[in-house]
Amino acid sequence: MNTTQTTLARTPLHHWHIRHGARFVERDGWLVVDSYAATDVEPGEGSRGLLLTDLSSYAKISVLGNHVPAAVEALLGHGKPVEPLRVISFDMPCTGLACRLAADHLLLLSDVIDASSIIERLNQAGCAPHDVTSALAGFGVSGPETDPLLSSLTPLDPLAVSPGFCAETNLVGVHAVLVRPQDATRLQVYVAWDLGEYVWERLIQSGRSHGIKPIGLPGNKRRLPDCA
Amino acid sequence: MTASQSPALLAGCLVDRSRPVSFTYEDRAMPAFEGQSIAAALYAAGIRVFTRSFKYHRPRGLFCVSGDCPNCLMNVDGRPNVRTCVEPVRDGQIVRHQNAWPSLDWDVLNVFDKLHRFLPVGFYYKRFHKPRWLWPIFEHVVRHVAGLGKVDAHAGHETDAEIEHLHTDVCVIGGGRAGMQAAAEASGSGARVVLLERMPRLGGRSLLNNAQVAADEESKLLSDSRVTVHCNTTAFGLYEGNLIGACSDNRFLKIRAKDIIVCTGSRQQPFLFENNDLPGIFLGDGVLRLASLYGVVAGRRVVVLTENDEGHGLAKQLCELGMDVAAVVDQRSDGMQSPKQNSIPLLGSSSIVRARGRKRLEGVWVATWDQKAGTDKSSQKYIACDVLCMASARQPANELLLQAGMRFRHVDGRWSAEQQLEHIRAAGSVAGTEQARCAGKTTPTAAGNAKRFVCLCEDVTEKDIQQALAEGFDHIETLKRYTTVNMGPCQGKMCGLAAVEVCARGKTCEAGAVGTTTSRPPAAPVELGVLAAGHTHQPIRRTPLHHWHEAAGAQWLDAGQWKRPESYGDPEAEVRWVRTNVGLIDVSTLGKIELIGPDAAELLDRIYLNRWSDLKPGRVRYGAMCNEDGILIDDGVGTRLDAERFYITATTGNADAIVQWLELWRATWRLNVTILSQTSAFAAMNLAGPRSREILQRLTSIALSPAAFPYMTMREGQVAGVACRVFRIGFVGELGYEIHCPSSHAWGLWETLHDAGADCGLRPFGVEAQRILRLEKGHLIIGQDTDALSHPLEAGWEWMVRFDKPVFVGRDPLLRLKAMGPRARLVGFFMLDTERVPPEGCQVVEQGRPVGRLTSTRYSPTLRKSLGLAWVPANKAAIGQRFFIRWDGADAPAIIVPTPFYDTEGRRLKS
Repeated sequence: MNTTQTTLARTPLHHWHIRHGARFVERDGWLVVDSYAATDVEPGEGSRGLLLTDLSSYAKISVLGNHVPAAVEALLGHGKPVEPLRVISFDMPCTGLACRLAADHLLLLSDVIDASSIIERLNQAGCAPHDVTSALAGFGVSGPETDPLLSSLTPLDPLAVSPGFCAETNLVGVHAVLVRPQDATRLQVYVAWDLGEYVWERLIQSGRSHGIKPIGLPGNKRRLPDCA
Repeated sequence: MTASQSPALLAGCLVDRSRPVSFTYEDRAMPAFEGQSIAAALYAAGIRVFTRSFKYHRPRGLFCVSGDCPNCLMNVDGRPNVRTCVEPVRDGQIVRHQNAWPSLDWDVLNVFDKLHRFLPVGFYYKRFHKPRWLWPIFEHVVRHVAGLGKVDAHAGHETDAEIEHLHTDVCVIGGGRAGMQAAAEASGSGARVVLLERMPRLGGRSLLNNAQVAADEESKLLSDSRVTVHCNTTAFGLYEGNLIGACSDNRFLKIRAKDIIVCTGSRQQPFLFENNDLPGIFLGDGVLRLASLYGVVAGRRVVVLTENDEGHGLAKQLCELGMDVAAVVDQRSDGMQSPKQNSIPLLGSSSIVRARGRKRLEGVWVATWDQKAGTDKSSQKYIACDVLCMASARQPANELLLQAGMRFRHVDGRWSAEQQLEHIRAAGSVAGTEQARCAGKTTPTAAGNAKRFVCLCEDVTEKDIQQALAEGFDHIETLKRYTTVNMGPCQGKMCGLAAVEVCARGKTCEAGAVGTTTSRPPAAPVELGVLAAGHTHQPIRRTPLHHWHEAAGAQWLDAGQWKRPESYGDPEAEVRWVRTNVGLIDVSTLGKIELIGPDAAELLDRIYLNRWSDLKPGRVRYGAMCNEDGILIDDGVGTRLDAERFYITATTGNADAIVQWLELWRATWRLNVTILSQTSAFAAMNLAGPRSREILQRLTSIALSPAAFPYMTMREGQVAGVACRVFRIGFVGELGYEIHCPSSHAWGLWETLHDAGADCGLRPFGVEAQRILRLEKGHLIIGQDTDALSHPLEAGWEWMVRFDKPVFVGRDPLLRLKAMGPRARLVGFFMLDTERVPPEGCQVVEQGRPVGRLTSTRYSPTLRKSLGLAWVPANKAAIGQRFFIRWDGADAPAIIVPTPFYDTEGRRLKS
């Protein structure tokens, strides 16, 4: 009997990455993209064009209903309210972003893959957290062409999502969460896991004219820059 | 000078004469230049008849040359109804006429022009309805002989159209001078500006008389980094929330702007006189467009009919183009300020009463005319000409503004915006006509059978409108519906004002009192392929195992947005394998929902037909739910994870709808429960078959013995090192385990299961095998075996409905239905001919009349019989009763049998 056989977790884009020559590394039980043989990124390229990163492996936690204020309190401490649609960074017990999608919905985007410490803290605070890591595919889009690309794909004006804000909208025909950390040229996109490959392909297809390039996780040195 | 000589004389600001192209028209090669429109190239080649009219099949020629009227519609590369006057010519294009037989020049159906007295307005409401059998035949004929082009249903009409979103501070619609100035001003104030222009170049009407000025302003605007110019882009709709719908080639643009400035200009309107539809009769702007944009002169000898000073300016321009202006006919009796120009004969207080010609204009009769006294017949004078230009006062091209809710007032022949809108403004001539009308475009009604066309699209004459008014259709909206005026391809652009004026005269009231018809999108024609742009990029939902199935040679089935493996080659072999050995199916598409909170059990009790509050943790229950009418909407299994936590499944297509349904009732009853959709978070796979326990036990420490893990229970634990929820259930009717795991681990678990089952011959099976297996077991599928009238008491689920619960959705109607007794029953049946499988949906007939229908049918490889489920009348639903199925024109016998068909006592399932 082999009950302890370890299977590595995969993002919904795993086969897309394989098809496009990705080199993988194992990280905290996940197979993540280290780099693409065909699209090595030159230094400074991110500041000129458009880079796309698969962030699906990073932990995502959802807190719903009347547990939201307690979760904010547990992670950010007293006196730091998060208004709806605001994005605030936290660093205890690990770094991440707290996105207040609605008054009764807080989405926590961890800066690490293993977020058990966050879940533990929220459980201790009685916040009933839900691990939605495998429910949402996540992409990082960065570079000056970020807004022109997304602008053509969503009815929401990306410029309306200012740094430090988030929004729920329709992106290429599916429900998506857009999160803009402090850096105006970076945007994170979250969609349902099973729609991840479709949305990624649409971003790649529409981003060709903007010079889009997929990159591995190490290339995206800091996924979640600090927010105010 | 002839038209064919004109290219040598005129440049045409859109034409590149250094780049010749060639296309075919009616299988003849036609020369043209890049930038020319198809119609301009054909006109230069001597073609004068471009279409045949809708009803009478009268010959029609170019008229507006702006894409507004129906006179140039042709079939281009298989696309019907293309407005060739603005469609750019391309190398290799194939252009054909439409709506004429055998040819445009000689159309047999032109006989209707002679039979017009038998085809009055609304004739299809009055004629050929008695005897009743005559109408279907007549309707068939009418549909064939009337109308526009036909779509070739057999041709490929694939489109790669795409939806594109644009966001801006200011959107200017219309790139004439007013539009360019508005864009420049908005940009100057720091706004992001999007400018939409339907022609290939900016400039609008100024291209017709001052192209250099237009070019200078255009280049200035194009160099402005805050202004994005979209030429060849037509705005067709203005919707709530400042959303603009526009199309550009194969792109469907959805533009959201904080402010919208509409600068769509104005257009001339036709005059009414006998034979006012002959080829050679143009709007004044049409002749100028043909010359200035495309480098083609319309003819040699021209008459200008006008009611304002613009007509005199037009005459001067036509002289400069080299045309011989035979006369300017001005309806005005006074106020003619323009002096006689270049010895052009000027006929004041006159109008054209009749045009002469058959397939092209030969001349016009002019008579002195007064609005009150009418035409002085004794003064009629014939002027030979091959072109007539109508330079009337302009009508605002205000369709978009009307859609947005702006209203226009008609006072003293002038239309002006009556009401301003927030964030939507009009600028330029669309805001109000530059010059007032003097006398109206309609001369008094002619006697006899003369045709004075109000509506070129639908062949509606002035007489038709008068007759409709006499019949009582005296409101402009009912008049429109009865006569179909304004309902053709121009959508009232060419006939709206004339219809109002004829109506006003008939009612002896002011035109302003008649009002206008409602303007709705699209204001300009849009190809259905463009509107369906989103369809070409429908979201595709892939399970985490999608690429495994692909590598295994799965044949795909579309299940809503999901791609599911229908089979891996041989569904019947897959069925046999599951029955005798073991199979694995991906059921990740199931809806998965978690309910958490103190009221979770209460909510489920109120939603499902059966009771859930007494479900013990670790036990599994099957349930179905109804809507408020007692109609079945979904079913699934669920389990209790702990006192305040449930995990339920929904059918593949209903997952999102059921989450919304639960949220609706949670909010309605104010229950303290959190509803969490887990469909994407969890993958699911069903290991089914007699050897499933043996394989699963190799990978888990969960005790799987029948005693430790009985049928309809759930265990949480590790399978191959992955945290899973394992359900002991059996949709396919065999010993089986449905394993739910995080989507991120699905691939690894699936492969590990396959490896572990390799020595047992574990094989994947698809949806088709699953459907056969479930049918053998008699399990129904909501939506396939039920419809919008099916309720549980007739579907054989009386046992599930717990009327002792005080509240559940659908309780009251179900109580009434119970009191009424069932009308129909869902029953299982065998075909007497065991080899033939009737198609699903066939009717159950009794003495030739339909009394029911088949919902699921398959050949059972296990039972070697053709079997299925069917709705039959309740009084004919006894076991052993025979019924007949109407199939291929014959009645095939079947016999009602008990379900399940297979493993009736459920021993295999519970083993």
